[in-house]
Parts: sequence; structure tokens; C-alpha cells
Amino acid sequence: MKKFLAILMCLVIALSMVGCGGSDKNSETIGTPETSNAAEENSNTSDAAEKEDSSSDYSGLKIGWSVYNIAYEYFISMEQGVVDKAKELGIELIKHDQGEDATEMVTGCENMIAQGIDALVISPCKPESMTQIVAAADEAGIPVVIVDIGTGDSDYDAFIISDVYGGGQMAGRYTLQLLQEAGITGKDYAIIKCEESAVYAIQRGEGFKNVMDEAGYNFTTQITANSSQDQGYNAMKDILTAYPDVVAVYCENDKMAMGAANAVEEAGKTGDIIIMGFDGDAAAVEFIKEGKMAGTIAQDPHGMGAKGLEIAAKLAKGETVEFDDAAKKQINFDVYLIDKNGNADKNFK
Amino acid sequence: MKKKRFNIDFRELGILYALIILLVVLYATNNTFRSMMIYRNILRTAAIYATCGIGMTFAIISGDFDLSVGSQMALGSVVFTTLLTWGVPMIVAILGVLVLGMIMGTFNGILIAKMRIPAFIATLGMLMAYRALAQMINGSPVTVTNKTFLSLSTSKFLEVPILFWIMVVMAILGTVVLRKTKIGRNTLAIGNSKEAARIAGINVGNTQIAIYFIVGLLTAVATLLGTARNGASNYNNFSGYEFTVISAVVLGGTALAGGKGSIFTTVVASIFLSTLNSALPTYGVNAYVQKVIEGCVLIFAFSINTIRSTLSDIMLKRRSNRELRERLKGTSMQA
Repeated sequence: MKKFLAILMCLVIALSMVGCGGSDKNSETIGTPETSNAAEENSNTSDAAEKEDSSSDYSGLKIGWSVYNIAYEYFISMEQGVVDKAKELGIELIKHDQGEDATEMVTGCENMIAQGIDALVISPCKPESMTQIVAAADEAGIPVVIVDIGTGDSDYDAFIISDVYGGGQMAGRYTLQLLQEAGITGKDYAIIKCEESAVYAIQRGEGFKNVMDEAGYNFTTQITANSSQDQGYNAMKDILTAYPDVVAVYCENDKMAMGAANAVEEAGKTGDIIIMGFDGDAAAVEFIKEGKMAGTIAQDPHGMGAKGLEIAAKLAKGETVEFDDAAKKQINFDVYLIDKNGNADKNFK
Repeated sequence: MKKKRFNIDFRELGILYALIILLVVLYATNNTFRSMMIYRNILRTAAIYATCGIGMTFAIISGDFDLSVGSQMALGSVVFTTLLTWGVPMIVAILGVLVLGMIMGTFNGILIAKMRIPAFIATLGMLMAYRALAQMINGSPVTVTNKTFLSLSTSKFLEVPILFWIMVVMAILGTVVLRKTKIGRNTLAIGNSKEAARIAGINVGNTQIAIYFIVGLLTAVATLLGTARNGASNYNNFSGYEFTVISAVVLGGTALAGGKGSIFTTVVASIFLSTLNSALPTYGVNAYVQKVIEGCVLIFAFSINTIRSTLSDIMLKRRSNRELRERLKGTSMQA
């Protein structure tokens, strides 16, 4: 029995060693050596001194970052943005991975709040559970910045999201340009939409519709394909049957756009119908290079992560932040076009 | 005497020592673990694992387990928020979830006891079916707006979260059922040997149905705790919970082969897992490494019995050798 206990003890100590080892690298102030030392000294001196030079010095702040699921390329890039920005500003960063679990999201964020963070940046896997986290943050008196996904109607302090409506408009303008270049004279177009609950994604189609209608094009139909490639394929088949004269189809994400492109290819109409997507998935860029899709609108997760951290730092210092939509405390993040050759065109507006 | 009556054997409390050592190490090395706040977070999560684990302890003592608990929780929480959005009073919605839990548990029990489907297959099937049902009822997430219900998660009594107190009550009731009632004794008996239990006149089928009824009921209580914690329902919430809960029970020393186990140690193991889960990120442990560590702990827990019996074999052998030597010494002295 003593031996059993000894083994158990060794295990626990080994675990704690692993933990301690990690702490040296990750939990320590991320930043250049000088700034991190300065940060530690500052925090020991006085709060008053810190407040005096709060203009643009964020070193010494401790910010928590909770990510949707670090297994996805999109969120790896977003986290890198947060980490890079923290390094630049000399901010101590605590990281947490929700692993797409609601309870883990709530517990992990509350644990970071218990660690005395000055602000929380989160890309929530379950936005509907944000209210619990915001309640805990309010109790601790710290700001919450949500990056992407959704807000779950919680009382957050800032929300950063790709300019979905503007992105849809951009897709519309590029479609018009392509139609003109190709000399296609048909006027009918259709939209394949994400599910109703994806409140931000479905604004992409609205932006597209706005531009196309102004240019005098004729809206035929919109079909919900729940963001999935299979359903995008079926939706496109239905559109081809019901509206054979359609010259442009906008899909609110790249997966549905790829499904639609496959349906168009089967119908032998590749090149006759302009298909645009949204997201900038690597697979979609391949489709564009093969000529099956006309282009897509790419998001910039790295930039969004960096922006989220910057806003959180400002809010933690009590500085004012400019919103694009003050009522919703929303900051729109620029998206950019990936053109028909599969190249990023950041100048296209 | 009291200890004996509830069969708490201090040699079986390895997990309690492990938890104490873990907490001492954390307290010594980590500032975060010197504030009450983190302990409350740990206890809230542990309460969800443990409440479900109490039911699972019954199933595992009987020699089987229930893989469908995570999906049962998802379905329960979706039904709960659906009832609330229909304007049903909260207390009725809570009763609805409890009744649904009992139905799901009984159904699992009937599949296993009457249809004679192995528990692994039956509950694996229901793992898929219950979650698909949840998605059919509502594929979109719903935020709970009822402040009274949400305060279940945030409020505390004597500085300890209410969620944890609810779990403590369940654990006491569970222990009484396991140690003091016919169902409990029959559970232990069929865990030791189904055949022997049958010969002794125990109705194995009915006992199994009763066991899964208990699992379903406690999973329903855990559903309510979890839904309050998440503040929302989503059909894909609580996925993979079955493994966390089964790990907690096994880590607590309940033998997977059945026949023995204790609810107290399941509770302690739930707190241990929850502590580990909260502690690793505070040391900046990478999410992947964290999963590796959690996996290792689980494998270690599964091998505890082997390690223990090997050790006791060695010790027995030594003792008998020593006795033999002493006896031989005695005889030579006499001669």
C-alpha cells in the first residue's frame, strides 16, 4: 500500500512538474526581455503610476484569451494574431482552449477571471452560453471582447466581426465586373444561404442582393443549404431546373459554393454561371484556380485576433473605443477579394 | 463502527490522497489556487461530473456501463429549454426533465435486461439516437433567460456553490440506496457474479432495469446542473461526457469488472478530474499536452487494480518468506 501511495505521489508531482515547466514559457509575460522586466517592476510599484502613463503603454496588463477549438486552421491563425499582438504590446497572455465544449468554455473563462485577468478576449464556440461568462466578468469588473462567431445576446463590451454585409457587396461588385468582362447579358441571379441561426453569415447575401438589385439585375430565388457542401449541390440543382437563365449565384460560404460549382460542372455550364463564395478556404481557392468558381471573399482571422486583443487592452485601460455600430458595440473587420485567378486582391473595394 | 457500516475502507482511498497531494502542490506553486474563486469553479464543474457519476457508479458496480449519458444530457437540456420557451412554469419543466431521464434510463435498462443486448451496444446505439432526437427537437441553440434558474449556477451557500450542495445530497441518497437497500445489495451481487446472483434468487433483469433507472434519474439531475452552468441548451453540448464520467468512477476505484465500488470515491475523483482540468491551463500547459496528461491519468486509473494486486502479491510473498525464515530459525534454535 505504501508503494502504491508512493507511485501516486510521484505521478502527481510529475504532473505538477510538467505544469511548472510550461509556466516558465507560456504564462510569463510575453514580450521583449526589457518590457517584461519593466512590467514586473511596474506592477510592484503603484497603480497610480500606471494610470498616469496609460496613454499607449499596455505592458503589465494581463489578458485572457479563450479560443473556439485550436484544432482548426482558422483559429490557429486567429490565436497567432492574439499572441503576436500581445508580444508587441508587452501584455501577459493566458490562453485557454474551449475544445468546442460549452461547460469547458464557461469554466475555463471563469478560471481565467479567477487568475486576475484585466480583460477577456473570446471566440466563443457556444455563443448562447456567453451570458454566464459576461455575468462572471461583470462581477470581477473586467471587459469582455468577443471575436467572431456571435454574441448570444449577452452584454459584452465589444464585438469584432468580419464586415459581412460589406463583403457581400464586394462580391456583388466583382460579379458585375466579371459579367461585363465576359459579355454575359442575362439578368437573373440567385442566392444560396446559410442557416437562419447564423445571424451574421446570412447578412452576406443581403449585401450581394443590395448591389445586384441596384445594378438592375433580377433576383429569382434564395435557398437555404445550412452551410453544407452536399446541400449546396442540391440547392444548385434545384436552381438550374427552376431558373435555367440564371447567370450568377452567390453562396454565403465556400463549402456551399463548392457544392454549387460541382452541380454547375455536371450541367456542363461551368464558365456560363458566375459562382462566388465567402471565407477564403484553401479548397475553394483550388476550385477558383480550376475555373469552377469565380472568386470568394476572404476573412482575416489573424488580423481579427490581433484587433480583439488591442481593443481589450484599450478597454482594460479605460480608453474609449470607436465602434462601427455603436448600438451593438460592433467593430467591422475588413475582408478582401480573392479574384478569378485565386490571388488575393486587397485593393478591390 | 460508523466507518464500517458504510464500508469506507481507508486503504481504498488512494484518490483522496492523490487529491490532497494535488491541492497541496497547487496551493504551494500557484497564486490562483489561493483564492476561493477557483475552488468554487472547480466544485461547480465537479458537481456535474459527480452527479452523473453517482448513477454511473451503480452501472459499473453491476459490471456494465452507460455510454449514452452525454446524449441523455443533451436531449434533456434541449427538452428543458423547449418547455421553457413554450411558457411552461420552470418547476414543471424541471419535473419534465426528471421524468424524461427516468424514461430514457428505464428504456436503456429494458434493452439490456429484456432484449439481452450487451450494455456496450445498447447504450452506444442510444448515444446516437438520443443526440439525434435532441437535434430533431431543436437544432438551434437556446439561451436560458430565467434568472432564478441561472442563479442555480452562480449562487452559493456557506461559500460553497449550490450546485455542489445538490450533488452532496444526491451522493448521500445514492450511498444509502447502495448500502442500505435491496436494490443496492442486488447491484453488488450481480456485479460479483450474475449467475451466482440468479441462483441466490435475485431477479437480475429487474435489478438491471432499476440500475439504469437510477442512472437516468441522476443524469437528469446532472442535466439541470449542466444547463444552469452553461446558461443555454445546444443539441451538441455534453458530447464526450460519458468518458469523463466513466473515468471519474474508475479513478475512484470502482472496479470495471463490477462487484465493488463507492460513491464517495467517485465524488472525490470527480473533484480530482475537475481540479486537474482547471489547473493545467493555469500553468500554461498547451491544450494538446493537457489531453495527453488526462489520458495518462485515465490509463493509470485503469491499471490501479493490476498494480495494487501485483504489489500485494509481492508483499504477501515477502511476508510468507519471512515467516518461513523465522520458523526455520526457530527450529534450528531448538535443535
